[in-house]
Amino acid sequence: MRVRLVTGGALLLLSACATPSQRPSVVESPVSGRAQVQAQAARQVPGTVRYKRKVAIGRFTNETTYGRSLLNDADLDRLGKQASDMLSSRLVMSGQFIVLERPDAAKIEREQGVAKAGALVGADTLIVGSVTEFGRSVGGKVGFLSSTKEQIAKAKVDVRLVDVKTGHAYFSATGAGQASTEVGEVAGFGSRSEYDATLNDRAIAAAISDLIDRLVSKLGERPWRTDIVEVQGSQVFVSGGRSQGLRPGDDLVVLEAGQVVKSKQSGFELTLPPRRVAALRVLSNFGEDETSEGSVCQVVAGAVDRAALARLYVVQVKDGGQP
Amino acid sequence: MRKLLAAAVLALAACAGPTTVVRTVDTRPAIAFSGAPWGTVLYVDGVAVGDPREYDGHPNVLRVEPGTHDLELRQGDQVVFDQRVFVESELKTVVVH
Repeated sequence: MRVRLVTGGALLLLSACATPSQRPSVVESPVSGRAQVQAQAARQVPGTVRYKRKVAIGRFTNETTYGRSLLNDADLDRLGKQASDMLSSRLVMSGQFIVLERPDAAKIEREQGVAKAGALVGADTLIVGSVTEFGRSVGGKVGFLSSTKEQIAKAKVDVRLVDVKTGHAYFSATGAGQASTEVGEVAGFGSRSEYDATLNDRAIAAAISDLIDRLVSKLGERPWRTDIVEVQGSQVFVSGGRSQGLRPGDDLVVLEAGQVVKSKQSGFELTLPPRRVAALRVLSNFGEDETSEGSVCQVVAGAVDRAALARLYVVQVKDGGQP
Repeated sequence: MRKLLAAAVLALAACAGPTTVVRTVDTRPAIAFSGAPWGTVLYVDGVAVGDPREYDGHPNVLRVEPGTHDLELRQGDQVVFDQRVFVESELKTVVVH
């Protein structure tokens, strides 16, 4: 009877202990690092033709009340610039966008002036957004002769993607991130941790990674089309090559754009259906990277009028022979 | 004499001098799977990695390279779940449903 009481009491004491939550243990993949990188690079090459969106960050600011009192810079927004840099670098890292620099464009133009070369390329999508939620909290549990303390930083970011031509915000995404550190002690013994300032930055970084994750997984590829840059006899040179998924042997169609009319219903411009002008077959690709690539094509049906190049564009032939 | 020597060694060993360590940090991200069905195999970018339930975050999570990844869970030849994810330096929990 006495043993049972002691055992019961011991179990009760143990169950009343406040213990920190289990820490994740990171395990290396059984696949070698080299094979992982190669597989990741192989997945970046598109299976069908696609064209990456050309994006630039228009505005990315801190709209929370956090970090607005002391140690501000000339623009009164250190946190916003930090988050903007994180967003820009992760957009590049995702490999799904052509990212154009805008926040520091003045520095690039100054450098181009020194080098006497180049001109900035226009974006087709502008990213506008802000850090909309940001804050810290301290929580914990108290048990029999034991306690835990957890510092938590939470951040949320919101962006929308705006079509530069029409001003139409066609996609929006939200990302949320959290960073925490937890310590625990039993009868005065255990781990210790004071205020951890890096949690703030880690929470914002996690929120932005989550945002890019939404963009990568939910934002579909835009419909692929390209333009004709030069016509020489029966050979036609078009923009876009291997990195856009264009390969020798692919069939393409040259279309003449229809008339553009304004809809009285929506106020947007409508393009009337295009007219089929010629059929092309890709012979070879040229160029070094995705910004300088092109393809050489052969005209297999119809004719391409050089004088009408401004109104012509090229699309891929889908299954069934239709553009 | 021996006692004096031992005391001197002990005193030296107890000295708390400043220690400076400068090092690079491995910030590669990790992925955990929540609710992965039994009998599936995880493929990361088309390469088989193993049973996704081994990386459910209790406590194991799978370390991956930063960037965009295509994740697939296959049961035999059938793909039962697929998702494209982006990770940079954090832990991402993929909820399988």
